[in-house]
Amino acid sequence: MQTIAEKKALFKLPYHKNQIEYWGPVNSNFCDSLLSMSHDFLKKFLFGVHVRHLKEIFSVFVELVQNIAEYNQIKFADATPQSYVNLVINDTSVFITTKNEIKEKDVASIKNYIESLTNSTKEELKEKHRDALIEGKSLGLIIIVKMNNADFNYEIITDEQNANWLSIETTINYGSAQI
Amino acid sequence: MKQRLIMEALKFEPYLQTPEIDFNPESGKMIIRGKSYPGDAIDFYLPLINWVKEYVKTKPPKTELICEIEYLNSASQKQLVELFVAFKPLTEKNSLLVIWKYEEGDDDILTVGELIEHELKLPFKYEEI
Repeated sequence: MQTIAEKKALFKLPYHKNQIEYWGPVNSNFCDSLLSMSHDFLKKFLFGVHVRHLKEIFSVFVELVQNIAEYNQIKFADATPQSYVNLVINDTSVFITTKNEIKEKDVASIKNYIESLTNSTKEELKEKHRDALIEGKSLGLIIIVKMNNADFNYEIITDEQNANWLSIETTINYGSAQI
Repeated sequence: MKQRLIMEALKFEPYLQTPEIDFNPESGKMIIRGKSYPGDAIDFYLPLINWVKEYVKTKPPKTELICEIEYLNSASQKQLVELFVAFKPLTEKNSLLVIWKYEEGDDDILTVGELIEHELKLPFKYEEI
């Protein structure tokens, strides 16, 4: 079992003052608590920022954290694995980072799915949003990639224990809308 | 004259991650207001959907579904579609109107409304607040 320090070193994780950071099991109960807390945190630190941007930031955080909780629940039903969640606020942007373990057999399909989103035009993403909404398919990452103010990056990393990690880094720019 | 069976109202107070629900079968006014991002959206929306399925069977003369949603996570968006599907039989007699309220500049909530309107062919009226 790696220590938190070792895991942070693996991803060269930064430390910032205005941030929420968590390494540990992410399941639906934890998720509910974290999201309620982060909602208050964002309102406090981003006081005066246009409500539209607040919603975008919160939306990215909700979708990423709930995606991890859902994946962990479905794929790791016996023992919830440790995952990483980080939200950092600076003067003009919010950085949201997540790292979660994924099953070897899911690596290719997750990669293909994310690539299909990041390679889509805005119009194609709108269509994917509509299709997923009506067909009840996964919607969270479509919403994030579709955002105009969000810069979405991902990679899949294999650690020394041969565990595969999905690493997502999103930057949401709110600077221009600050009152 | 045949009497219409009136169901009991369905009311949920808003909570941390779930919206206020005020479905009044007597007046035909159904209100969904606030934030919706529960981890288990099915758990929250399923009782509403089941209630609406029973409600439409009472053949109400007029129903106004007022959605004043501040924030919707993706799981709630999908469940909201299911809820609207349950209301759809009312369109056969033109007795349903959806009033979709959204905050000024909130394109995300507006887009969700437009997608539902277009895909489910429901009568929508938009109000910027």
